Amino acid sequence: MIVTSDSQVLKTKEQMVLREEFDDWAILFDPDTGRAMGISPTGATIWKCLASDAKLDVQAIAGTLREEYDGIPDTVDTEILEFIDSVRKHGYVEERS
Amino acid sequence: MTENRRLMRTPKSVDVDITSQCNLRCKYCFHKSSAGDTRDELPTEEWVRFFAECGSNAVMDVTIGGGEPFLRPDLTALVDAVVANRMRFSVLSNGGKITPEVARHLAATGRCNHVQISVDGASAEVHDRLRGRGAFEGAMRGIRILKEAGVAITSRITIHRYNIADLDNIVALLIDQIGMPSISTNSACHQGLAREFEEEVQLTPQEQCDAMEKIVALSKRYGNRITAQAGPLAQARGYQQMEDARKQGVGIPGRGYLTGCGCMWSKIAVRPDGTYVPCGMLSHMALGRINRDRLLDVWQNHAELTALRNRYRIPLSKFQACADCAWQMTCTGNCPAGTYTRTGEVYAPNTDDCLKRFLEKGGRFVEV
Repeated sequence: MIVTSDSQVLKTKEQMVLREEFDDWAILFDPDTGRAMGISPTGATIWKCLASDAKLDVQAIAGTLREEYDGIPDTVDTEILEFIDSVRKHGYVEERS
Repeated sequence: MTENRRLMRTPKSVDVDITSQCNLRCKYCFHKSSAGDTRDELPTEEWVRFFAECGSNAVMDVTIGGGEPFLRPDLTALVDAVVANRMRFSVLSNGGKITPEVARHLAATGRCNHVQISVDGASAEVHDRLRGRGAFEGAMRGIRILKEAGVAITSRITIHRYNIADLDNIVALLIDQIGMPSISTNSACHQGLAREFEEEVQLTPQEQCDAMEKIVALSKRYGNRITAQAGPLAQARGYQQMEDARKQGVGIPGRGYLTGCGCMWSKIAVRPDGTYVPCGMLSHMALGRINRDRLLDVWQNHAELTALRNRYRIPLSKFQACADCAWQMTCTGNCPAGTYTRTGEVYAPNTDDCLKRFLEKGGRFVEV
């Protein structure tokens, strides 16, 4: 899960399914709505961070990305927040106390 | 050039035939008397265990068929296991055994894509002709119960010689009166009981043309609310596309090889006895058994399934019947299941849907 700068705690909704493919791209599937969304390999890594029980911040997720991938840009923090905003708008994550 | 296909890491969907029992004996049932028509049925616990494995492999959808799935008293328990493992489901039914209690249970899950009810006539006289007495009444009762419970419903019309003239009425009944958002159509394929009653259930080229004209006109009227993967509507569209390409002197990308069908790239099926098969229509190709062989191993590594997927590398030019065909590079070779029941071979084109043969026997293009 992630703790945002305004102390909000966000975690993936329990019913969400991450379908990883051989090329590391993945699909997020919400069985409650039947909707799905394709995500990149880095998106899949961020998603796994959001799904974990550990309370991470954006910097910690950026660190995980740098460990797993080469060439992570300096703007990665913004891109992580954009990804989180996108899955939040789709209703794939929820606030936790 | 063959296309470059990628296998999904796990199946996106799984078709499970949970029973061979049925309250009807339709003359074109592809299940009855096929290899999938097993007497053995798995107990609840076996299916529940398998659905847990599907869920852990990120399968998204389960299609529950049979036989008649509503004959299984544990259907709600099976559906609950699908839902508990983060999947959605659809049910294929003739409608006659649906009860309000079970319908309400399906609706309450919030995960039911739809229940598909077979409807082949707008009256008992037409519908029951090849399905047997009482089938229409059962289908309409089932639809009414599902509707009252708030379950999404769709229908499949199997087009045959006795319902071509009734197609307008059937579509009006399903879409206008009952209010289904969309329906699908097909025709009997040479499988199961349809082999026994071939004379009665297979369309002649002339009947096929009549059916194509009717269903194309209806699809124009109702837009994309009438769909088809096979049968007269799919054939009319497919044949026209092939002819357009031929006239332009071009092939259709990815065709000219045995590329029909692509199902086994995204889904797998299970017979009532728990045997994995590539598809319910290729039920003779046993690939293992659920809860003994891991889904992922069968999906990724089974030699016969891999060979079947690689049909798309076999050029149609290799086959005598296709060698001099003007539509060769526009053709998929069609469904391998029909090829198998005609010839005992799956690595060959299916001549039942062959355009050249259709035209030679008096068929014609229908403007789409």
